[in-house]
Amino acid sequence: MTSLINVSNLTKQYGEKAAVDNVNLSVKAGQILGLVGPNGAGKTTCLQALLGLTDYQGEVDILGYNPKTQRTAMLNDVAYIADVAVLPKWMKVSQALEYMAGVHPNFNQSKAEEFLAKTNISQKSQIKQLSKGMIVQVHLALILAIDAKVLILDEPTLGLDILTRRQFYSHLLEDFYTQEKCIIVTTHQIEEIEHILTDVAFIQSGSIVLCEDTEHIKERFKLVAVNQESIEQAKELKPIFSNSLMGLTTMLFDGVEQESLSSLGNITSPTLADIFVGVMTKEAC
Amino acid sequence: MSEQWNKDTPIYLQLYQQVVSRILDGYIKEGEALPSVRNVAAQYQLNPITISKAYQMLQDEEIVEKQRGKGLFVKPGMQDLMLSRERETFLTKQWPSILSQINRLKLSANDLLTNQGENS
Amino acid sequence: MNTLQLTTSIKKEVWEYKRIFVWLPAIIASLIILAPLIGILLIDGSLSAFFLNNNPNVTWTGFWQQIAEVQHDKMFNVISFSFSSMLFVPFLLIATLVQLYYFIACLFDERRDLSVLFWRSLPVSDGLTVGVKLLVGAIILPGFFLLAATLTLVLFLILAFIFTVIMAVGYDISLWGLWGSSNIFSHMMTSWLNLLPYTLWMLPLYAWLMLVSMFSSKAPFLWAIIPVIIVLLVEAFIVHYFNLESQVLLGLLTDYFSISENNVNHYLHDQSSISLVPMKVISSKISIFGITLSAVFIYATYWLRANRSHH
Repeated sequence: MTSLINVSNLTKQYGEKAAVDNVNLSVKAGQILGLVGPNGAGKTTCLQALLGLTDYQGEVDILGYNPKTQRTAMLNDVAYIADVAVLPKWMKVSQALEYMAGVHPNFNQSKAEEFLAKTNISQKSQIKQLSKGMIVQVHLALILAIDAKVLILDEPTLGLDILTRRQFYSHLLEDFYTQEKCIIVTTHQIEEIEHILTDVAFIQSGSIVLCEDTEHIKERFKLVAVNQESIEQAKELKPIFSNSLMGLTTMLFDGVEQESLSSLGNITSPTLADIFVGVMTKEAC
Repeated sequence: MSEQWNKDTPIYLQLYQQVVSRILDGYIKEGEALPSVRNVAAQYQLNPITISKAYQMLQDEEIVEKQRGKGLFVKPGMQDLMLSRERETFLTKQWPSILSQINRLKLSANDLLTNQGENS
Repeated sequence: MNTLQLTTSIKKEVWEYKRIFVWLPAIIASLIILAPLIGILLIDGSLSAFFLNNNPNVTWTGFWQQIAEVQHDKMFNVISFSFSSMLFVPFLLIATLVQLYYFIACLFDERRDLSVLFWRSLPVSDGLTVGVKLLVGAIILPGFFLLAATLTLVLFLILAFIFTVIMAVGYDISLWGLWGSSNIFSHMMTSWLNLLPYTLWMLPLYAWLMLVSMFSSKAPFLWAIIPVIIVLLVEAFIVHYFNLESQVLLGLLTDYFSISENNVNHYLHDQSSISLVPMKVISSKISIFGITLSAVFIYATYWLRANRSHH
């Protein structure tokens, strides 16, 4: 399975501080990678490096292109959405389609028109007349019609209502995704896309603290509702996170076998959000 | 619509089970095609790999078969097969514990069948 | 970069600024055509005052008589040139203002409404973008105005033709002679051709405004003017304080952008054809330093767009 995106030893310093410190990532065809982290963790800087928007040290290779030196050529095969609602307000939908057709070699105008035909957006409307949800649909139509192999999404659903968010991901999965393509998404709303991701990477203070595919992650982490009497024993096994509420202690374990845990209490699978909180808190200590 | 998935079982297994139930109940008929991976991924907001795994399992269990270029189709006779499989699972795994509970509570067959609406 | 990208990018600029590209020249043209027509309809005789700017005693008939007399005169060439130039003047004045507005806005608007994030997600190089905006502001935009002016002139000529046909019945006016000696078409051509030396002359100003458009985060107009004023004030202060001769920078700026009597007269005397005079005058104002400075500004604009748009 070929790697479409390869990042090695990516580092970006702002003065003394490293916004991104020795990050290694690789995304293969068919993967949907979520890059999750708190504000200031370095997600944006990583993405900027991938898109050739900033200087960096280390190597970044996307489909064989160097994003810094071959940016324009790379954008023929790489699509990205920085913010779903930034289409120019003065433009008409028909003009946007004409512009894309004239400027992007991989743009399939009829595909975009087909997509828009399913909405109730008229080609004669100006972007400023459309609601935010409709603008997202137009932007998505334009992106879907580019047969990009790599799609990079930077907090794509920020500020959108739930209906629009759901529609966004539905369309992405139905109309864009194939086994030959890959997607990188950065987001805060991990619960929403937890099941959509095939892989996840947690980033904190410029470093990747976890990078795993979502199946294995469920096997690796276990959430245990620990019995009162077993608490000390449980602590021996070094949980990465522990929470006590109303007499109930819940602990999160990383890589500890099922057998060792079964005597301590009820074992369940944590959600990705649970794992994220646990790992982040641990790193912060 | 997104489903509420059980946290403790892998989602692909739950999906597999769901297809089996649908076949059993007759919602998916024999000879009918399963919806495409993309379609299901979009509807349920799951990644396509999860769906593929469930579909692969259905293929491995010979519940569905692949028709070139057309997708996955439910094999004939599946409804009956599902019925007998689920019956067996129920009788061997679930029934014994229900039976012992019935005995514990000293309920007769009459009680069980006529008191259906009473104790809600 | 290919031709399709180029033409599409130009189209996009026109769409974005359609109000000032298409509507404004059209409105001016209509005003210019309508105003004298209304004048003719309402007040007889004032037409000659409008056109020939002399003696209000001259009437319509007198006007045609004069034409009959001067039609073969060399001066007619000059008169018709003056007429067509005058017609072009309002268009060119407004065009200049619109150009300055466009240059200040062209790289600012996209950052203000964040659409730059969309533009830069497409395979259009920053070089092409900056180049296209320069081309549009310097050539295509004035081109639209020149087109409107030319069409207005043509319309006037058609009207004049009709009038002369009707009115010239009693006068011996040779239409072909008129056309011949007025050299209307060569006048029109030179107006268009003047655009090139004019652009080269004004290039430093255009480039400065584009640069301001690119780096200012708000109030680009102020950014365009104030630094220049500050530099001049500082210079004035230094000159005054040290009791120096005169302000060098101020002198340079005013010289560069003005056309003095001397310039014009110099060319007026040794040219046989009046229509070439403006081109000679304008060409003389182009300077290597100006072009070099423009190149520096343009490169800075490009660099900023490629490296700092997203901050």
